[in-house]
Amino acid sequence: MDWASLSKEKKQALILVAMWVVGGISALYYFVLTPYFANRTASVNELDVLAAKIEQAAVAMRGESRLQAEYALCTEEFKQAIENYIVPMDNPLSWVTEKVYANARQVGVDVQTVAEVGSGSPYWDAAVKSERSVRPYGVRIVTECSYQQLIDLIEVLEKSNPALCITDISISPQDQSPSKHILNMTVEWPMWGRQLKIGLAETNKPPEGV
Amino acid sequence: MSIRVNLIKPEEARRQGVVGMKFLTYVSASTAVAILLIFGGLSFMRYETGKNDLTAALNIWETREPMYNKSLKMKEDLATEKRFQQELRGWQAARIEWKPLLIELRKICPPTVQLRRLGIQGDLFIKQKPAAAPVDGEDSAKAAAPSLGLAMRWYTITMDGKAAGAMAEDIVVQFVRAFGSDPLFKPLFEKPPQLNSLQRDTTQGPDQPVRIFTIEGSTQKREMREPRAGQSP
Repeated sequence: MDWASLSKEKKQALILVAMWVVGGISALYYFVLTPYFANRTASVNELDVLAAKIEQAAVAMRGESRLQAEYALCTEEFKQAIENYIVPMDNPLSWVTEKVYANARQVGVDVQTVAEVGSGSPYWDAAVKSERSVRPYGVRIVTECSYQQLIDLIEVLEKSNPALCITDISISPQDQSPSKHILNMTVEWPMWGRQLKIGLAETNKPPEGV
Repeated sequence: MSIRVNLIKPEEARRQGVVGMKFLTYVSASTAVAILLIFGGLSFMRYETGKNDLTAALNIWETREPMYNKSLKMKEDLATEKRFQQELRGWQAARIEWKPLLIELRKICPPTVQLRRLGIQGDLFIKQKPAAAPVDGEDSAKAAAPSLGLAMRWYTITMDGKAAGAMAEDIVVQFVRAFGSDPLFKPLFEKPPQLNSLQRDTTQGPDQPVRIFTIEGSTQKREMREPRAGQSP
């Protein structure tokens, strides 16, 4: 095709066709192909992310039955601990007094006094804010008993709570009754220092006293 | 003389070649359209397949997500519970069980020695561990996982008593030695217990050789930390 030999009308028609083609291709590219591929890329990315998540979930849940068994066991121990070993924040002296008298009755010791010992410490305040969940709650127990009764009382107290700690013992004689001594004893229990962020989904109740 | 006369009009002229210009134009246009159609069709198929895969994956994830979240929460709770129990075991490790020691004390006390006063005083030291700064690439929440810091208990045991008899001083000294070397007491002490005072009891008559004494010993510091495997509390 010789451009020079083409008539003016034909040249104009060819230019018009070329413009239509270029315009059409541009429109196809900008309004059809680009959104289509962008959409497709987004979908593919979403699919990749989702597939990764599914794989991650599958890996995480691979040992699910073992995890559930461990969780059930641990939760049971945890519940037992919070019910029996940890002093609640509400009315702690009442909780402790009940325990002390119950234990003392078992060994025939008549407890005279159970009084709270000031346990406020800035160190513990800071520790329970950041790292620890329990802090010591101390009470002074005063009674009169024989040496053997003291041993028995200590035994029942220590057996009743593995975390309980007898921090002070003072045994003084009594001139009027040599077989009975005056016993002053400080016992520390772990007490909740802060709320644990734990669901206890199976029981649907927060840890007691927290 | 020969004259060549071109009687063919320009529009009637044919292109010299295998195929004509019109055919070339049609074939080119059809090829372009066919390629576009094939490519578009394939892309559409891929898109539809991808869309179906995505829908299927979304359905799977919809089912698994609650289970996964539950599993994650369970793991988190388990870690908290374990940490709490570890803390309680630390408390247990730091305490001294006094029952066997009090029984033992009665056993090693010589018959001529009378313990008048027994004092056990506990002390507690606590220090927070500074939080470690996260290293590059480490999750800051993970890096800030709190440690239990340092907490320890120790006890001072004081005994006041009196010893009677001709060799009262020797008996007291032997008692101090027996107290320090007893298999139950010895591992507890930081250093052997000491005789703080030994003197004549002035309230007794001169014919009654009675000595009053004070013995004191301090235990080792016991960390409020779960004992490592193979380590006795």
